[in-house]
Amino acid sequence: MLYSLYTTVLDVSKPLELIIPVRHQLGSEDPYPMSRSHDVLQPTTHEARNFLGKAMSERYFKRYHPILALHQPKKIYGNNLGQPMLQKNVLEEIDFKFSYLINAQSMLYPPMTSGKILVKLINATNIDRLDIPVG
Amino acid sequence: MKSINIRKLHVKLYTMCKKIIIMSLAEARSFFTIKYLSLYLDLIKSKMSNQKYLALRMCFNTSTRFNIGYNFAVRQFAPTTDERQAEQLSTILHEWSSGVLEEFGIKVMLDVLTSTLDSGSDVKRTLDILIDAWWEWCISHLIHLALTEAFGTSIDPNNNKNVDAHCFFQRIKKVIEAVNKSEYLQGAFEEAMLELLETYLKLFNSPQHRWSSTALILERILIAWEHLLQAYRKLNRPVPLVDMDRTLCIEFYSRFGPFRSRHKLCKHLSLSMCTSCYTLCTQLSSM
Repeated sequence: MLYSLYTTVLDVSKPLELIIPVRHQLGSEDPYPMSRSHDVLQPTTHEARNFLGKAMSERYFKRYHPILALHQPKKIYGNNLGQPMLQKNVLEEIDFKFSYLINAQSMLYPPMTSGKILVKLINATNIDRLDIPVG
Repeated sequence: MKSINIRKLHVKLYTMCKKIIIMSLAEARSFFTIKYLSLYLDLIKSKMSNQKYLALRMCFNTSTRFNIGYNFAVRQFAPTTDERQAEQLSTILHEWSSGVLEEFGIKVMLDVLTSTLDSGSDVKRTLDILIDAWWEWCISHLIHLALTEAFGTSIDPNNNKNVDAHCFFQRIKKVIEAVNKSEYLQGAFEEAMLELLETYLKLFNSPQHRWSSTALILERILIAWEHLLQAYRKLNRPVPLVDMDRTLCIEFYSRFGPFRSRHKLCKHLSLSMCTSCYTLCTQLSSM
């Protein structure tokens, strides 16, 4: 639901769908087209869209972004931060508080249960080693 | 006619409701082998009395029913000065909410799984750290905060990042106040509306920092735009709004629209969706 905002109303490359609330008046014609390209929007609207994108990213998209989440281990490990699990070389499923995401995917799409598709997806994502915090 | 003791009746009703809630909780507890309860905690302020209230809501599923929600308490929150000085607000909140939960036989460590809240530091600390319930955003609060930040409608003018948008809303607010306070202007505006729309729609002047109210303000301004201008012209007063203001109104309103629909939906769904997802997935993890 929120991701669709990211790809529609917050996407600067897409025109803004205009919503004009008018009580039904016969014969009245609104001079505004129903969607307006990003280039012809008022600068204030343009600025507001940028601010809105940033504000949503800060609060929502960053929180559920896999790489960005790694930068904030407390979100993953919760109050257990600092415990020995962070020193492990191979993390088990139980170490991840967010393992529920994998489970949810498995439930919605059973082939995910084996983890093969997930591994494929992870391998296809270009993760820089520098992105992964050490310790 | 037999007189009714209202206080006694309230106590009876409360006892009955409490019994029903405890029974539902027992049903859920017998079904789940894991924690199963979601909490929503917030502090609300009464506009009338200016007093603070503690609102505590919970949500859970059972084997036979889905998305059961009860408001546990809306109680006046007034810790003494000594209490405030001795403890952090989150600790006091924890004590108060634990008291309510104990009354319903809820053991925090065994029953409470997750919580949805705004990001207020006190409330968040209470549930995330002191109660150790997994915290997720209340999506309605999240959308509200993001829009307030983006459109410069924060209460504190120093926190407004978008100065242009803030000035625009101030201009709109002044026009609404002028119309609503001036008998002549309001009369002319009402007349124009009745003439063209056959109905009179008063301009809203809601608190600007509540963005959902801001969307309603814009909606009403856009519907009444022509009538507003007509009222000013009729009284030979300079019209304080220009075409660009209408364009901005439309563009801002269009920006609010998709967020508004999600905000409305999430008001009802955030807690129950969070409950279901977490319960189901934790159950899967424990298998």
